[in-house]
Order: sequence, then C-alpha cells, then structure tokens
Amino acid sequence: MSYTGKILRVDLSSGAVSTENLPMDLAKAYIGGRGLATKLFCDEVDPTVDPLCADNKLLMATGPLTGTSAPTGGRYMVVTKSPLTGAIASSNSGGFFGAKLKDAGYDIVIFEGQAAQPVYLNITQEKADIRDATHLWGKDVDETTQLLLEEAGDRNARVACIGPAGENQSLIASIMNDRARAAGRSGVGAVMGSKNLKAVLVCANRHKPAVTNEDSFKATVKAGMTKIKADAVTSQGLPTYGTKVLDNIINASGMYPTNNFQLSTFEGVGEISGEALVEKGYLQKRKACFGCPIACGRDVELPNGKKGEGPEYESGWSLGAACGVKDLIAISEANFMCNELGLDTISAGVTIAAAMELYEKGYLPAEDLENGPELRFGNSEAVVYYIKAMGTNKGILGPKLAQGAYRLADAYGHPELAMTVKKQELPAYDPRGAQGQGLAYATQNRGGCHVRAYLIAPEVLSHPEAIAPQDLEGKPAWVKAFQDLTAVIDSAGLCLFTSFAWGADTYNDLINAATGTDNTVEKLMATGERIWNLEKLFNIKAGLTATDDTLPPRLLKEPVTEGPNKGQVHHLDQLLPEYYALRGWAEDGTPTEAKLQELGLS
Amino acid sequence: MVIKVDFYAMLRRTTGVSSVTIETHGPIALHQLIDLACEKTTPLLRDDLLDGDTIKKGTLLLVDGRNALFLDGLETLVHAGQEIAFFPPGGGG
Repeated sequence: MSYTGKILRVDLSSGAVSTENLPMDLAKAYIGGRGLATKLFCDEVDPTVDPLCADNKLLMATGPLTGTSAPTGGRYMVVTKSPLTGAIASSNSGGFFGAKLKDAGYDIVIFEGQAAQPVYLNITQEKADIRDATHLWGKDVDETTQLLLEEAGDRNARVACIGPAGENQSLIASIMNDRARAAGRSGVGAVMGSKNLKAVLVCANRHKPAVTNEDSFKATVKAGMTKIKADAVTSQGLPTYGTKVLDNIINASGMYPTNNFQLSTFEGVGEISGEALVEKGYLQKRKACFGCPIACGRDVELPNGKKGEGPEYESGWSLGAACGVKDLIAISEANFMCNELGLDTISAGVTIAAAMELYEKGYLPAEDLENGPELRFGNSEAVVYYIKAMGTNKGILGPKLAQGAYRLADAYGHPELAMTVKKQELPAYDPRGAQGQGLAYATQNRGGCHVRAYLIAPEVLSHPEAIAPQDLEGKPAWVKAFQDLTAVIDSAGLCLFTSFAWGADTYNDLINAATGTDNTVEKLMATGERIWNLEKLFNIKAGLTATDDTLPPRLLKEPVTEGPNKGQVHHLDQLLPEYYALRGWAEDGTPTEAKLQELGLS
Repeated sequence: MVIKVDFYAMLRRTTGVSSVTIETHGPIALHQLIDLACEKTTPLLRDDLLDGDTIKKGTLLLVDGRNALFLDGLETLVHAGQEIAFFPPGGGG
C-alpha cells in the first residue's frame, strides 16, 4: 500500500528523534494527511493547550496519494492548534516538499516540545537528526532555503521553513516550502517559531510509493488525467491565466470585496486581473507542483526586474482590491515580500485593509504611523511598507499588525471592522453575494476560509452544476457535502483543483487502489464527515461555541451598496439551524451522541 | 442603441479583442446578441459559448452581473446600457 508505514517523532526539548509504525487501523478510518494527522493530534494534545507553548504539537502529514503518480499528488498538511483562532489548524501546501518527505520514508512527522535554541531537522533516507540553526535565525525564506540547500549539497533537496514572521511568532505567519509554496493559514508558522524550529530539510532519492492494486491504480490515474485534460477549467483556464482568471468573474458577479468589504466591486480590476498579468507581459512561465498536469503557478518578472512566484487570485486580491490598490507591480512586490518574510498573504492583506479603515475613520491615530505612508485605501506604497513592518515586527504598528486583523481592530476599539471568522481573515468572495459560501465561512472549523467548502464553484462557476447564489434552499446540504468531500481530498494528499474535473468516485477509486481499502463512495463521504466532526469536537473542547459560527456584523447587517448584489446581506440566521440539524448536531452546534456513535467518535 | 459585450480569458484569444459594441434597434435576446458578436468577431465564438442551443457547461454569460441561467437563459432580453460579460469556464480559489 502507498503509505510508508512510518511516523517520525521529534522531541525538540530532549533532542530525541524516533520512528514509529503508522497505526494502520487509524489510517483506514482517517485516510492520512489532514484526517489522520488530526486524529493523532487530538489523541495526544490537550485542546486547551496554549498554542505557543511546548505542549502544543505540530504535525506535517502526507496522504496515501502523496508521492504517487496520482495527478497533483504532492500535497502535505500541517496540523496543530492555531494561535490565531484557538481552533484546530490544518494548512495545506503543494510544491515538492510533501512528496520528498515520503521519498525519505515518512508519512507523518510529529514535532513536540521546544528547542532551547534555533534548530532545524535534517531528514535523509538513512536518518533524521536535529541540527543547530543559529546561523539561519533572522534569515528570510529565500536565504534560509538557499543556505540549507548548499549545506545539503543536493540541489534536489527540499526545504520547509519559517521566515522572520514565524520567528517573531506573528499569528499570521506561514510555513513556506520550496521557497514560494505556503502552508499559509492559521498562523502555523508561529507554532514552528515558538518551538525554535526554523526549518525542515529533506534529502532523498525518488522512492515511488507502492500502491496495492497497480493495474486498478494505473487505470484510474489514466482516466483521471483524461478528465483533467478534457475539462476547460483544468486544461485551459487555470493553466493559461492561473487562479487569477477569477478576478474579472468575481468582480463582474459583484462579490469582489473592496476596501475592507465596504464595496463589492473594484473599479481597478482590469489593471490587476489574471488577464492583465498575461497581457502586460509580467508572466514568464507557468509553474507546476509535483505531479501536477494543471500548472496554475505563476513565475513572474516585473518591469523593475524583480522576480518571484505569484500573485495567485487570493494574494492578488488581498494585497490589491481589499486595500483598494490597483498597481499590479506593487501587489506583486508585496506578494514576494510576504513569501520572503513567511506571512500568509490573505491574512496580511486583510489586516492592512482593516488598518486602512481604522485610520480613515480616525480610530487609528496618525502618530502610530511614525511618519510612515498614510494608511489610505488605494495607497500601494502603504501596503508594501506595512507588510514589511508586520513581518519584521518593527515600529508601533508592526507588532499590532502581526497579530492579524481581529486583534488589531480590537486594540483600536473596533473589532467589528475586522473581516474575520473565528479571528481568521476572510478570503476573496463577498458572501452577501453567495449565501452558501457565507454559511461555509461561518462554519469552517479552521475559521475564515474558502477551501474547506468552495461553494463559489456551484454558486458562481456553475460547477458541478449551477445553483442560484442568492437562494437559501438546499445550501446547507451543499455546504455539508463540500466540507466532507474536501476533508477526503485533503487527507488523500491531492490538490483541491482536481475537483473541477473529478467527482467523488475518482477519489474513491484512487484511494482504494492505492491503499487496498474497499470503500464505497458513501463510506468515503462518511470518512470525510468523521474528520469534520473530529475537528469540531476539538474546537468545542478548546472552548469555541456556536457564537463563533458567525460572520462579521458588516456582512450580516450592512446591505451591499453597489453592483449586482446591491441591497443584499447574508442570511446566516436562516441557514445555520438547518445546517446544524443536517449534520446531526444539537441546536447549540454540538454533535449529538447518536451522530458520534454513527461515526465511531463516541 | 448600442450594447457593449466584454470578453474575458480564453475568449479574448478566440475573438482577438476584449470587447465589441453591437448596434441594434431595441432590446434583443441573448442568443441574437451572440449571433451579432460572432459576426463582428469570429464564428468560433459560438463554439466557445454554446453546445447546440444551450449554454456550454461552466460558461458564464452575465447580464448586469447575473448568470443568464437564472434569468431566461438564451432568451434573456438585453437592453442598452446593461453590462454584458462573457466568460469561458473558470476556476481557482
């Protein structure tokens, strides 16, 4: 089967590194990746733990399809307790690091404890050992990666690391791998920083995981590739324009949050869209992660000679329209800077947007800018300047910005101006235009997030079928199904973008052939539901309640002022009770005993 | 009267332009607008937008930001001054 069968446990306090067998009964029940790592984490960590103390743990987990020939099989998941939300964190990343970890012989790495001084973990196929990283502390992601690759003497080695933001325990710090791919959300980089863990270096020759049923696996991979090549999204839109193909679609649909969600359309979208990135000649080439035929990544060179990856749709929006900025060069530079500092781009941009509204409304005093650029919507210089302050913890504002939008707005007395759910910054779709997406935002276990249930697919993109974005009927069922299926995809080790071309049956066939299970699609979906409920249970034990399943008051009470959704608010109050009931949860959002028994969680 | 149609993503490659303006004598159905847009650009545009007499799966024909599928489909009447945007299937996140 396509698991390596090994877990690497790293005690950063004692320096002990040991290997354990993967519990196969749990692998069967939770697949791998997000699901299995969450199960192991919940079994080992007190949900009330301080996320930034030694008792919190951090898991890097591959799935059974990571490293195989399954298209996009290069993903890994970081699971820990989030310092940003206080909830379960699971941050996913592509690139090549996940597959390399599996080449080295490990499904999962568990970090526990806290090193006395900066260290990195060196993993090879022969051994794993903790090494001094004092010389790397203070270095940005690019420098850290370069130095470790030189130390390894292996240009095919792979690095996951934190930048200065993670070292400073910024609550919106990411873990970066392969220089520009990010396990971005929920402040997982701060947890690494709190453990004095600067990086993980993996050197290994290619060792393709052995699937259980080779013939069936090959046939399913072939069929899956055919679907990806036949689908217009995965064969044309994403390869040609990247995820930024969405800018104009979402803006024209009146869901493109602008000026901290005060507007839902952006007059400057034509200057910063995916089309503009191509037509202005900034795009140099497409970039693919491990085993990916889609290649949505962007290698960009700006007219000023600066080069880097991105911006993707979310990053381009958060550093652009969310802040009212229509300068594609500044947006790209801010994106590069986030990557180098190790900051989550969505959270960074939305935090700057909150700061701009606080400043424009007079809640954030001018003296706190310390003669820096004015925090006004549309000021591209301010975005670049304060991203740097945020990532390096400099000045009066830097440390406040580094705590994310909610804590920033709260510090200035106006938490209602933070566009967050569970204190995590919202992504690039105004839910007043898409009722299902709003319900998904409110109920995501990891807080404000679009990739745990991407309802924009049916509500805007007509995939897998078109559902009217303002309709309420049926939306809770769509959200539940998307949340459960996404839990499966995240656990398998695949990219969510395959779901534009595939249905649940393809994932089921791949997992069955790779691991030897004989799941039906129904049973697979129940596995996704088990993972979702396990995350929910952790959150409840951590102290979150139904009051956390909500949206910022602006989105519930302030009607959209312009565009196609003028006059609309989000109707969460009408959707949430049905969602809870559909999940088999009590009215307070707590899973019932019957549901837990059904899922094997009691 | 004049109706402006904006093209995005791959449709710009098909048509070679980012928009066209169509002159009509009054409101027209969306399918008639597509015919006129094809005349002004290329007949290949129809293949990108339609499967026979239906809107191609995932293709977005927006009339003032609303998906034509939730209006009257290809029979949706288009008036001067409305914002018309055509998109090929798109995705991301």
